[in-house]
Amino acid sequence: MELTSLSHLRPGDKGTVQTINGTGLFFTRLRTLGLCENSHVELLREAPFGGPLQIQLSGKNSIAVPRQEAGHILLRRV
Amino acid sequence: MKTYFLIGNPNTGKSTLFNALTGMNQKIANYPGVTVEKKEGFLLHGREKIKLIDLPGTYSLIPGSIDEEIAVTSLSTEDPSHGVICIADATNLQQNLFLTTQIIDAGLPVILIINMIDEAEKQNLTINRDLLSQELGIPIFFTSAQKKHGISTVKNFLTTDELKAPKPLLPRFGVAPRITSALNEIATLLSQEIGPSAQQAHALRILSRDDELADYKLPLRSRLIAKRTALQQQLSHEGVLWNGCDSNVRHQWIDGICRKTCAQPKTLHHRWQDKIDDVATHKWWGPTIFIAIMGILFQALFRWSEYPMAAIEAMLSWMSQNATAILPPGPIASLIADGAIPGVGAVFLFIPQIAFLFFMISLLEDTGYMSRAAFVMDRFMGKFGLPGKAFIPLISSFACAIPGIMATRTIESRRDRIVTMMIAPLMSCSARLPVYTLLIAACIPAITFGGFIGLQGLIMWGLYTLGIVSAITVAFILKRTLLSTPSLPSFIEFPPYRLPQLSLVLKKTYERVKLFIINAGTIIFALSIILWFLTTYPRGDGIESSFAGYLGKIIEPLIAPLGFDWKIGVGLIASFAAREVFVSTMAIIYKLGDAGTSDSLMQALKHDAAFTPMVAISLLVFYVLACQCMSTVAVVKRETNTWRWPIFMVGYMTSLAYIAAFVVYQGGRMFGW
Repeated sequence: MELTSLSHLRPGDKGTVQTINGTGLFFTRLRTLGLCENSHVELLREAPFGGPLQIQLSGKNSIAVPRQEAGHILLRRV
Repeated sequence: MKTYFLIGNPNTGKSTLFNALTGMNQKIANYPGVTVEKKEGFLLHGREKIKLIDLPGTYSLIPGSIDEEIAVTSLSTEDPSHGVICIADATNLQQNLFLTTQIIDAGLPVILIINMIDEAEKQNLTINRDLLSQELGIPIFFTSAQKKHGISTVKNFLTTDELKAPKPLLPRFGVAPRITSALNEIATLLSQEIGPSAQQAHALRILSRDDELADYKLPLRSRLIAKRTALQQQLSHEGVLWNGCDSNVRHQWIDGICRKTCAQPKTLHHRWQDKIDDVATHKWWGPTIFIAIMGILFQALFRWSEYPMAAIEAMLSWMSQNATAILPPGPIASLIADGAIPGVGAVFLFIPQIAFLFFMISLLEDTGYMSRAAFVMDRFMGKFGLPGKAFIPLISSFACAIPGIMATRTIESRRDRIVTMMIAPLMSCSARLPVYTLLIAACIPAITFGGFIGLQGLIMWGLYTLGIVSAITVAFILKRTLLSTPSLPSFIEFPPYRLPQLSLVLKKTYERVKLFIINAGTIIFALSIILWFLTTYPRGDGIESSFAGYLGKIIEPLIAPLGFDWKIGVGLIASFAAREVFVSTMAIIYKLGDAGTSDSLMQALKHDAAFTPMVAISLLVFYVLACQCMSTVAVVKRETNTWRWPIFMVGYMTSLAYIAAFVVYQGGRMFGW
């Protein structure tokens, strides 16, 4: 199945992370929060007017990531 | 004395636990160079007394913000050899164990407190404590800090037992052999600085990162970066995945442990929380709710604090009058009645507003709403190049720029943080309000347009708008010039909605008010005494012949193009340190003596022909834009750790104020106003 980027998900869509193409501290921190290869994410909401994306990580943590960085996270839809 | 460090993820009830363990035996200071609060407390149990240090919340030992950096570096620079108390949220154990296992691998003695166990029970989550304790090799306690359950067991343990460093977990993770050999190469570089038990864990973290390793000291840092980059290139070349080698294996291992020790029902997040979020972050409802909440906040700030402020004012003027009546006339009486009492008053007068603001902000923070607000506002703030998080410091600055600047520390990117600090003082703070009120009431005619829009109110609205528009413009320019490199991406955390604890909110409010009294109070008070001296001596025919009058006349040619005479000049000199002093200075100039009664001062200004509406507007514009607050300058210096930014701030704001007032006054005159 084809990979989609996190920024292309619609609210309610779920996926398994396959590759993270980003570099830098931001992605290192995402990984510590559990957003790493093979983890599950769900897109919960989009901020108004094209703002950041709120995602649910495995576990209870929920964070919002900028749309641009979300584009670097590739996943397989579930 | 035994010293323990308390560490944990944000939103795990760490502050509540700290309060439950230490009671009122706390002291709060700042870490040197930054305004991150350093909380220390003493745990008293029987005859034993141990020290507890509450570190800022952090998700991992790889720091991503100033708060996290302090938490991490405290563990390596201070002495945690007695032990670390790790706190975890029972309802989010798997994520919280990440930090716990990192601390175990750091070779430190550690106990784990699993908090909010009552909430976990409500959600039918069960944790096999004995098995988990055995797997991690550390003592584990269940608590519900808010209900004070399990606290005495923890106290007992901490005061009687000696903690031993557990065995590192890292060898059990099954790190790939190729990675392990790379780790050994990094570990040899660390042998001088870090004990043998923690080297592997450090090496694993370093290899998984591709940032500047700001938490390591130079020159070690540069050697580590060189080594790491070489190894990462080599690994990439061989097709071995190195990024996240720490987090991925750790999460995987924790996942296995949690399967063995925890049982949890399928649905994790609360439905009602989702329902609230659907509304609070809705495209239209979100901004509407946000604006409504900000409206209430303003109402509280300006309307509700009027009464305590009026009471304080009345008390001060009563004290002043009594001091003059009781004390024999002379310099001492004058110093107390005209110098010290109004000086103290200038500090105390703002306490109701600052307390209200911090009460409301703490309340909003503790409910979890603040991050939703940042989420909703992110795009809007992004238009000016600022993150959504910058909204909160800027809103706070409407009460006082000092707490606003202190609140910028949640912004990860240093450049975004500096831009926010630079524009925060342009928000019309409460100290400008007395100046606005006095000048508008005295000099602007009370005309009404169309029956309900008053000119005075319109001008007041215009002043606030001018501040906001200037701030947006300055941010826009700064982001494209001095602070132009692309800002670092950051994420917004969504803590679960919780009912705030009144005692915690009140405590936070009290601490911040105390900080204001100490920080700003001392400066304002000292300057009031100096001002009293300048306006009283040399004794003669009032203020015109005093030092202050003399200074006012010296700068008169400079400020004449703005429409200001020497009397306003004296007011400006006096306001350089704290703008609210303008009112009391004008009172002294007009020989009213008592700073408390602004009504008589208003009458005096009304009858002074020099105060035309045009002069008043020019002066108001100047007060909107000028940086007349020594305390703000001091706070910026402390936050940025350099004099460059506070000096830049004073420079650009003063120039902006001068130019704007000049344009307004000369423009007005051209139209014959």
